[in-house]
Amino acid sequence: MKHIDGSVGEGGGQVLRTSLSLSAITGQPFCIKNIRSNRKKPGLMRQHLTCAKAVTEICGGELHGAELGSSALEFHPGKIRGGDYRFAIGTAGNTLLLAQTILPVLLFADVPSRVILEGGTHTTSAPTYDFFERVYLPCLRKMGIEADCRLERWGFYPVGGGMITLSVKPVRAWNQFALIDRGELQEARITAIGSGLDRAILEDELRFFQAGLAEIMPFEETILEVDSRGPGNVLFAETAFSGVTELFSFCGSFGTSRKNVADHVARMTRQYLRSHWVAGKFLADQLMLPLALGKGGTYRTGELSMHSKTNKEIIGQFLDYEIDIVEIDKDLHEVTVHGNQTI
Amino acid sequence: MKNILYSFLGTSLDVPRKKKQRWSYWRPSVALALQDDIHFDEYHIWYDTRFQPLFETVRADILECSPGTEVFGEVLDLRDPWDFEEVYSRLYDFSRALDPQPEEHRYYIHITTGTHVAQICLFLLNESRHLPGLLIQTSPDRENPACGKYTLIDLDLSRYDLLAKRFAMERQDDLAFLKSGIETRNESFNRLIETIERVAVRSRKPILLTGPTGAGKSRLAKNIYELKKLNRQVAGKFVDVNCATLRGDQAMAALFGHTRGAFTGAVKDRPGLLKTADNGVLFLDEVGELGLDEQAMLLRAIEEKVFLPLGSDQEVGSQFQLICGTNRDLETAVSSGRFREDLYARINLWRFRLPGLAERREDIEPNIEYELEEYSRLNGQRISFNKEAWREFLEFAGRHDWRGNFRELNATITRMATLAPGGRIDLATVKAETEQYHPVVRQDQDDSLKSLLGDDYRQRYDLFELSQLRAVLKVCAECKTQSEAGRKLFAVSRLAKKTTNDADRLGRYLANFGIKFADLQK
Repeated sequence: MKHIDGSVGEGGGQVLRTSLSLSAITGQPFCIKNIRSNRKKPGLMRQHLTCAKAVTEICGGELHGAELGSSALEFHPGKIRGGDYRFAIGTAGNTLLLAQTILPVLLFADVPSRVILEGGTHTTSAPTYDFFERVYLPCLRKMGIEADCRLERWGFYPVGGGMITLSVKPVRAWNQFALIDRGELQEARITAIGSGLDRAILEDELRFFQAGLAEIMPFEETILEVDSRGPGNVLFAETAFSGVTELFSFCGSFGTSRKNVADHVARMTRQYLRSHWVAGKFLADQLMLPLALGKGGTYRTGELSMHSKTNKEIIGQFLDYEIDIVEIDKDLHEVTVHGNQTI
Repeated sequence: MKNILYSFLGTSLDVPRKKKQRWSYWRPSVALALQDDIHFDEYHIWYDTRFQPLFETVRADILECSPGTEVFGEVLDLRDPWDFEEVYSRLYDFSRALDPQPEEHRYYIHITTGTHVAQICLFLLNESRHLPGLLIQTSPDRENPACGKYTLIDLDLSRYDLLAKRFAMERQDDLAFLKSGIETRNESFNRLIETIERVAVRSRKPILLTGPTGAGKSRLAKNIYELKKLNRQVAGKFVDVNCATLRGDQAMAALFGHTRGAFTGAVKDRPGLLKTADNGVLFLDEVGELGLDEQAMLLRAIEEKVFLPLGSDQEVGSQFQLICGTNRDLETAVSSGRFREDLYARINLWRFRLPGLAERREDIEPNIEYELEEYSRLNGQRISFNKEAWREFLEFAGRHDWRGNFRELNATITRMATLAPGGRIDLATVKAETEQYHPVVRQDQDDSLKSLLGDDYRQRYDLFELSQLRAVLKVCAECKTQSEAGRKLFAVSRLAKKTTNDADRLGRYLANFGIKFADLQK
């Protein structure tokens, strides 16, 4: 039985999610205490509880002590089964974090899987659906993973009601992965999406964003008015290079001005474009786990985030893997994950 | 285990002002369904049929944002939602019909919506556990307009550390209060006071205080009264009566009152002590001294709260809390027919025996300090002991039998304080006090010991040694020879010895005190 301390590193939900995935894959049971102890509302929230229940269902495991608000739980994995699943978070809790938790597990299933996830698709402090589809999944495919997704319904905070479908095939052969050169810029696009909002808001966001990027380059513009149960707004900038696509987004909410939303996205985009990072901060955080499971690989990014450091440590609790971090330049690091070949 | 929520429809707060923007501001009933750290499986909403459309809207919104929640409408048509009686009785009926099962499900009651009257009723029903569960209060949050914030309130006060601490502190105060602020050290006495405190705060039934005279029964009764008054259990007076002073016709009249002309000398109406103690506390000290007629009348006054004043045909009522004191063995008085058994049964519910001062010698010192302070307070003069005098007096107090208990201690301190030169009690004052006013001490001394050991033997030997010596001498007196006494005294240890020398051992022991066995045979 592994003993995980949920307060390590950033002390957030990622400790639990990574542990759940790796426990199911490696068959090692674990117990965790101090879940999300560094957060304002510590303990299990609905989306974490759904993650735990989903992994339990997928691998026919046993889950003890998991309730809303619990700060500790125990998990005993069983045999991973592919197939059709449906998981609903119940609120606008983020479905992409749930998708990132179960996807690695389903790679080790007996048959392909099709999973319907309900909840939020574009919410703050988590990947947006667009990032997942256009940045994260393409990287996984480079590693040999066959996975796809589709947005069925948009779900914004606070009403939620979004739905995505995720298809995952059992992994057949892992590939070596490398993200060390961006390549040529092919497209730079800024997209403003709104549900139940005045179009003027979306137009203003685009305008403020372009002003923020004026010194670098103009972006092509898209405005999308979508249908959702509740109101919502998201602005994202997408930079497609021949070697990598990155995407920076921010969700508007009541009380956040349109300029604020635009400035936020502009700041992240500028930072990326002015650096030599290939993987941006958020992508870098999420590559470690699949690389450790497969043949490993290399990516170039900035300073290792707290999130990455936490993940690195938790992965080490379950997998015998190695990771090298070399500083190539000021604010440029090359991370090499030596994949675990025992699974 | 389900989470089940009950809430009133918020007839103004829950209304969506503009359909399109209804997610942009706080609507308490809907906001509760948006929380990401609490989930309700069942959401029951009380509403008036006049608000059916609003209920439907709110229900649809809840289902939309929390698909895992089942919403139930509970029609509650109120003529006047501000009428306490109506709202309470309707909710009470609801709770009866509901038959909640707090062991199986978790219940929550949302109190932010509904009238203030509804809020009060929910609070009362929750506190009385008719509607069990946690109360939920919601409020808007600028940073999170649609969700707002919520707080869970558990009315079980013992769950709150801070409150528990405060109650514990207040209780400490109560205990100190009952002990007149004296920091007593005797454990069994302190435990006794803790029990009395609990009874005094929680019960209105009669209390019986027993114990030797002067043990502090009156003072404790007065303190219990003051404590009850602080806790707003009594509003009336404290009436202190020594039953030994009530004899004959006057006793009846004094206790139960009389009308004008009831007897010679009764020139006007007199309410009587029981009436004076209405809504207060009546302390009947030496209750065993009460005549049988008065006992009968008192019994009725306790049981029915009414009695008949002398010469009156009009019953008078009085609600008093009774405390009785006695130093007599009431049980013996009952069996010999001097005390009514039924009355004894009535007043014997909470019986506490106050130990005499000699039984709690570790409390003598704080009590001396208390008496000194009391004297200083009453006479406006600060009195203290000098070091030698303090040591001498403590030594005396430690061995004195204190038959008169606190009354005797009080008299002793008062005398010394009055005679103390310049407010300082010196050795001479202490010596004068112990020699003149406590001849009891001298009489009490064992004359045989004095003749054997000399007048000052108490200063030369420990109580420990003297006690042993007394027991040895008693055996010696019963035996004809030193050997016989030795055999008796060393009956156990002699078995382990190869050769016995009991007479020798006894001789050596007695020699320690300069006594010879032969001296004892006179």
